[in-house]
Amino acid sequence: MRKLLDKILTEIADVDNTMRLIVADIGSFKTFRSKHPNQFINVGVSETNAIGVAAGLASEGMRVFVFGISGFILYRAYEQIKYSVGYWNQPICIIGTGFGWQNYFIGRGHFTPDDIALMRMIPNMKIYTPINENDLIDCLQDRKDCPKYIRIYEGKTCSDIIGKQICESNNNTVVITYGKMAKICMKVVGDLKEQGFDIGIIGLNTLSQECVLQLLPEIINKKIIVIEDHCAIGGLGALMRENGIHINCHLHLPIITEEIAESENELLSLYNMDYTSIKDILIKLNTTS
Amino acid sequence: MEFAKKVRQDIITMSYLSKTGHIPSALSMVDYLSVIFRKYINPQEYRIILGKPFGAQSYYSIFAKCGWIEPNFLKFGTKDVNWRYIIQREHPLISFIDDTMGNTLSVACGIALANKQVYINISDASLQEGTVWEAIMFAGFSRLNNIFMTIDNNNMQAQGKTQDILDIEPIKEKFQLFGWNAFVSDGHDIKEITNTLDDSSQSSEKPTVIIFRTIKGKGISFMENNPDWHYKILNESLYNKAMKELL
Repeated sequence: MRKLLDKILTEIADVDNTMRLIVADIGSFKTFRSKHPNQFINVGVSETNAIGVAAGLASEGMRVFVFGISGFILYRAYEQIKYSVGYWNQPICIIGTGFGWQNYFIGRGHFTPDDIALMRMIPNMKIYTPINENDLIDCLQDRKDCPKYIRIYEGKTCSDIIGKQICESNNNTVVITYGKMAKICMKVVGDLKEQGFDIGIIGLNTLSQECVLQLLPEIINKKIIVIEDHCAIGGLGALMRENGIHINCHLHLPIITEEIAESENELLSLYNMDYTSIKDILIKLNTTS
Repeated sequence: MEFAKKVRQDIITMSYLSKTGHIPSALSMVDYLSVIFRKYINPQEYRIILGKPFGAQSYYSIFAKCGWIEPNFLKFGTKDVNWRYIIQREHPLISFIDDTMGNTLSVACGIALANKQVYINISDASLQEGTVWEAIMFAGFSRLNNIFMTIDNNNMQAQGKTQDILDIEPIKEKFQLFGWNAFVSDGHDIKEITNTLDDSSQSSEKPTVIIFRTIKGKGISFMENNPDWHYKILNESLYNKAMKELL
């Protein structure tokens, strides 16, 4: 999604000279930097300063985006996000990547299974989890007057998911997911449907109480499985349970302190979040009463 | 200076009525803030950031005496007046305040990048926060010459003397190394304050800082340089004693 991000942000800057993109010495943004060098601000390896500078620019009516690795920008600058951005309700867009299991192989300093939980606790923060190109365009173009956190995953988008919801009323089992997990789940559900299994999938491109409550008519009386690249605390599964929704199965990442797998795929497999494990679980859920 | 004496009287009165602490923090800033806001900083031209919100009584009194806000000492500290330690967002005079410590110089950098003049006042203890130094580096490197900062260098913090806890000296030289124009002044001598402000306002390609050497609790003998008074509030007897000293 990074190349796509560069393209979309460049298009925003093409028509809006108040737009600024701030980084803490991360992300290439070749197209943006060559076309709009004066709208690109690299503060150096200073995440807290990046957020403060963003807050100052936004307070003067500038349209501000901050890009970073989620584990760096959110953890290091959490206080600044909470106070200078959240409490002062600055309409800054924080774009994070490398969350969840994506950079697991680099080491535990890059393993971020709790970014959504952290951002849910920031006052006024709206969380986006784009799945496909249209989702990404929509959330970047969203001019809501509040801070935003956008999770963009590495790799190609799910361009084959048309719309966020492919849940038919007669499905007896529904997968609810978001982000990169939607790619894996879409493949599993598609293959199982071809085999005659009655399974639907809902991919969420925002996470909020409002969007979870809107799901209720679609999922009533169905078996629900939530699959997310986030830990059990504070993510989608937690959000649904907080709103009284029963979940039959919740697949999520662990919180770990040491290396337990040699690759992302092995990690996903250990926690039943790879293609084969999800398929087996769905078959079992769908066929048991 | 008569104006500063009246501000100190206001501070003692507000603090007593609202049972607000951080009184010595307010008293140390009075003299230099009085000169700055009466003669050098106009809120129509500058964005004002309170990087040192504790001691808000001082700003409140000075702004009221400058005619920028309606004074209401009886309600200071309540949500009706919207001042105590924290000022809410949509305030006509204040662009930002530091809800914790050490965050607002970065915000000032952002405002400066938006081509606005910005004035920020911080405490010396906030120079112990790493976040401030990220912003100091950035402002100097980026030559943000539309930032004007003052530091209330009273050398006292919650647990005692700053020099004994985590010495921040030499402050002026550190700022100069990071690409700032840096000045030092006695924070209570009106003539020296004025001369330093005049010298610092010469055009420059660099951000500017004035380090005001002050006495915490200045003007009240039992508060001056007394760390016990960092948080304490006034009772009736001490209120009367303080007001007598300010006659």
